[in-house]
Amino acid sequence: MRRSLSLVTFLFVLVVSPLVVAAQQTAPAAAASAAADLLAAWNREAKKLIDMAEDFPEDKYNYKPTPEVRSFAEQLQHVAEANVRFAGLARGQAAGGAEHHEAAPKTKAEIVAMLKKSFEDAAAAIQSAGDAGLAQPIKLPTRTITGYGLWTSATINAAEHYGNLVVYYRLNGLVPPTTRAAQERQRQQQQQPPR
Amino acid sequence: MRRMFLFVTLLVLLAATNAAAQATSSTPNHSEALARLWTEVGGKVIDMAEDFPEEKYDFKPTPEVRSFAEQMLHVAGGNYLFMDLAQGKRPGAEDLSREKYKTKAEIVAVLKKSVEEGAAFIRQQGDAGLAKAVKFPWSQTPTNGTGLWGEAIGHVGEHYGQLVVYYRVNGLVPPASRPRR
Repeated sequence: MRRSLSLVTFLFVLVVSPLVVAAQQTAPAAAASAAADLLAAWNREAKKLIDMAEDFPEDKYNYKPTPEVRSFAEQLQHVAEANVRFAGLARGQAAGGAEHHEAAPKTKAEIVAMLKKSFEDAAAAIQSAGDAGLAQPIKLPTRTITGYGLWTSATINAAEHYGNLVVYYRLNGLVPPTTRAAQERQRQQQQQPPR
Repeated sequence: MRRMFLFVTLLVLLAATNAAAQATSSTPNHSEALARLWTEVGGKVIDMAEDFPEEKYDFKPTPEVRSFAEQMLHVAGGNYLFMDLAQGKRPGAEDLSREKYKTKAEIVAVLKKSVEEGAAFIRQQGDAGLAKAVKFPWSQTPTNGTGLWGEAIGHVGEHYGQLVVYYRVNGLVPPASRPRR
């Protein structure tokens, strides 16, 4: 029973609800496209990270679980700067060509704004590329990829850092916003009388 | 230094996007790109499963979350779940519980199998298969194969990210973060 309950929760949280949200955000239910799919996945990761950035207490922004790793703030700056770099590559800038640095410490508001902008700019790049653009080759120094591969890599990068921060939350005795929302939905469903 | 780190990380990510492309030097289609990235991110989780000390397999950073072993089993179970969904099946009742998968070797094996089968499935679908609509048994919301596998690959990435911190709080460096020899 516990297993089937957790399976149902898993399905709902991970598959159904994001897809419902994505469907509401994107086109009417016509056949999805690779670009629409990428954009939906990108926006899902973006929302999860931005929600964390907005939610996490500013006085814990410099928290790091061990001395040698990035702090909460540095993680978010890293994601934002990687997003900018991915968008640069997608727009045809040479790898390593863009001026780039992980900036000096910023306030929470500055980091939230930087993160949001980086995700929005990247989403705009995906959208303007469209299916045809995403199939075009992008030449890197040693190989050729496509925009589709580039943005899938970028989404994985965001997901991995989201995963890092989930544990940062837990180690601070906090529940990540996405998990809190899922727990709340689950509670409400359990309170509804069976139909 | 940090700039260098970011740059190197990005290059490694991108290298992995297309490692096999050097054989053909062609531009991969979507299913091939997806299969490679699936194998890459799944491979990082497998490397951890193989590398992490078995006596720490039940480590959890806080009491309410999954242990290292439970994370691995959740990833493997999730991979099978997405494969079922991609075929329009109701997810199987495969129970990937710690009680059933007792040893490190058993966990590594089921995780590996799930990643390999996922990659084979994506390649077998090809671009045409991935463009087809996927119907979920409980939802009217349509998606297609690229949407489903985009979600699946992000799922693995998120758990990899969690496990990175499990490593660090144990005073260990994740295999992918160690200096290359």
